[in-house]
Amino acid sequence: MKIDELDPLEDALRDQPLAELPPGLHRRIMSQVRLTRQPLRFQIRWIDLAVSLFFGLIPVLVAFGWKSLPREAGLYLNYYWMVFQSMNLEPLLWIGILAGLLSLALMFAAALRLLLQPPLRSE
Amino acid sequence: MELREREWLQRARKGDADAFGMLVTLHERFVYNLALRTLGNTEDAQDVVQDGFVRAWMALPGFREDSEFRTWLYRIVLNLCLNRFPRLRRDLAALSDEELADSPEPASHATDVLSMLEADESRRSLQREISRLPESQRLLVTLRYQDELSYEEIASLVNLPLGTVKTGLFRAKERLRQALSVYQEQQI
Repeated sequence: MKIDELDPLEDALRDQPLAELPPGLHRRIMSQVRLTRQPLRFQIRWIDLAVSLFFGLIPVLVAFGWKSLPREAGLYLNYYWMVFQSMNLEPLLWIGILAGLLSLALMFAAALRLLLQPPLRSE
Repeated sequence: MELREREWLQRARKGDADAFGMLVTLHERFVYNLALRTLGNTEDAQDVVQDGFVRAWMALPGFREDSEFRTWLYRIVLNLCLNRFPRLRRDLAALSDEELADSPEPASHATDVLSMLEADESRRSLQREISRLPESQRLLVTLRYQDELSYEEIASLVNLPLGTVKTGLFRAKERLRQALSVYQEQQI
């Protein structure tokens, strides 16, 4: 292939005129763009850190609270726990745990929905 | 990418529709011509261009600038064209099977043919012959000579090996040369 022979053809191809833009196309594009909200980029905000800190601290606080209980209070708790177990109310306990987990899941879903909701943009 | 285009891009990524409007102004004519040449009619081309810019606007926050904005925008619009015109996808895939070795030699009177391109009438005939090219070759010619993309950019856009893109363009130019020589003979 002789490159120099192709040059005039390539020049002619480059010089081909562009078709004119149909009238109103730019306006239609922009009106559609202004009606369309950009999705949020993934980003960590202070509320994400606060929520994760809160949930992360729960086991630490429980452990710390348990350790720092007065000896008498610990004994009382142990006593009532044994009484509770002797009452054979274990199914009730499991129902409570399940209800708690369900509430937590609902709260988490609601918080997530709130966090992922895009803010209103002022235009 | 020019400095002002980069600035518009940064602002548009943050949700500034006016800055995006500047980007639209900068690229819309080329994008429209790409769609028009690929799809062959103005209504479809306008739909695709409108849809393409809206999709670009929505995807802009995720644009990582590891390619040029123009190339990224062309990819969006080209994908929309391919969705609307599935035959073009098959046509492009078929290019991979062709071998450059099978290509005919350039016509011996190529210089004569090419010199006549200076006349207006000949330029119009060239335009007509471009529109008669197979869709895949017409697309490659448009991307290379109208949009002035590099071979590498085209290969990345149409998802074909570099060699296939070069082969496709070579074949397109050969076809144009032959068509123009026939046209020249008819004129004589």
